[in-house]
Amino acid sequence: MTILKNQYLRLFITFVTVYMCTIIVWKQFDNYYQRGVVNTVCHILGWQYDFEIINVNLNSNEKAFDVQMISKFALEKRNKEKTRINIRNYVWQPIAVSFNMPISLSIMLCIMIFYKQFNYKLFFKLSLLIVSLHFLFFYFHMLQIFYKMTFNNVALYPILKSEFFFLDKNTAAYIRLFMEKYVMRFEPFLIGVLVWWQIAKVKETSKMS
Amino acid sequence: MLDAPFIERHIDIESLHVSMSLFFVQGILDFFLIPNSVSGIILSLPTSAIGIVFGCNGLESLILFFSGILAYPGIEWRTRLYWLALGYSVLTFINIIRLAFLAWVNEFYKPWFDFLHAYVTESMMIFLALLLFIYYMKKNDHSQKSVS
Repeated sequence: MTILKNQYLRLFITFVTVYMCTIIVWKQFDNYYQRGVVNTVCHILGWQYDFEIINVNLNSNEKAFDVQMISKFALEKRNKEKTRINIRNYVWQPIAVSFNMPISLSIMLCIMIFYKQFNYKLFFKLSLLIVSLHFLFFYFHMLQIFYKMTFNNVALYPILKSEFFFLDKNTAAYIRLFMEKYVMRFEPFLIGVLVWWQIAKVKETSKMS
Repeated sequence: MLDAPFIERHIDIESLHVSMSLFFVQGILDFFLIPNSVSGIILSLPTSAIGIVFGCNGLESLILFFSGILAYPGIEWRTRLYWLALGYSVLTFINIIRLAFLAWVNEFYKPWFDFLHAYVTESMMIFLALLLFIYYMKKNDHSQKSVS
């Protein structure tokens, strides 16, 4: 078939095939992965701001996480009495974050399969990068919610274990927005360019020389 | 830059792009005799509606492609401009088809909408932008031409 001689079409077909397989596999792990990331991030936040984690669970409809944290100490601004801050019902649609995992993996695999050159080191390095980005994204997202429910509360303020990690709430909001709107969306494209550069370019140059 | 207030005051690129895309999406839906109406960024069908926000309007893949074209070194500006125009046309055309398809799915096959919207169609747009960029790099790679 002449049409299949077009390498871009073949690359596209390879991508669609790999993507379908990746997405079927990924859908089995998605919830566990999300749960792991959210749970870890909640515990990091809890440790950082001295909050106790009561519950981190995916809701029954599997569209949101139910996160419950309680502060060990906080002061009531009016009478300076010790109290606790309760954070409950943080809602999030997990699909919005992990959508870039199957596409990034598929792009990497598709280019590697297409050029018949599997670079394990590059594959694991980039997979680790994606996972770190998910952690960072969730961290800043949770931090923003956390700030809204603690430092923006007019009646109370939490007693911080350490102010070393304290980030201005506008900075946290900006980083969260930048990650959500740009980093998470641009990451598969950038990974694709990098993998193509590393594999295809090297292969073609070596072929020519 | 798109969201920068001083640019938005003079020309709201995002709204212009969305209005233009929705005009063509309406054309496709009319062609298939699916009743529809548009109000701002909301496309309404008889029993459903979709909102075209950033991420759905195709600007994301366009920004990716444009940034790649502008950042790739050693290309003449005339060639770059040609590819920017070509990329805009191709990716916007595909996005219009995508929006019409998603509106149709949302109306008639609602349970599939979330999956197709979040995973399949968005990923396809990113991959097509990448494919177009790879094509651009190969077409304009002078170092390879000089080696051969």
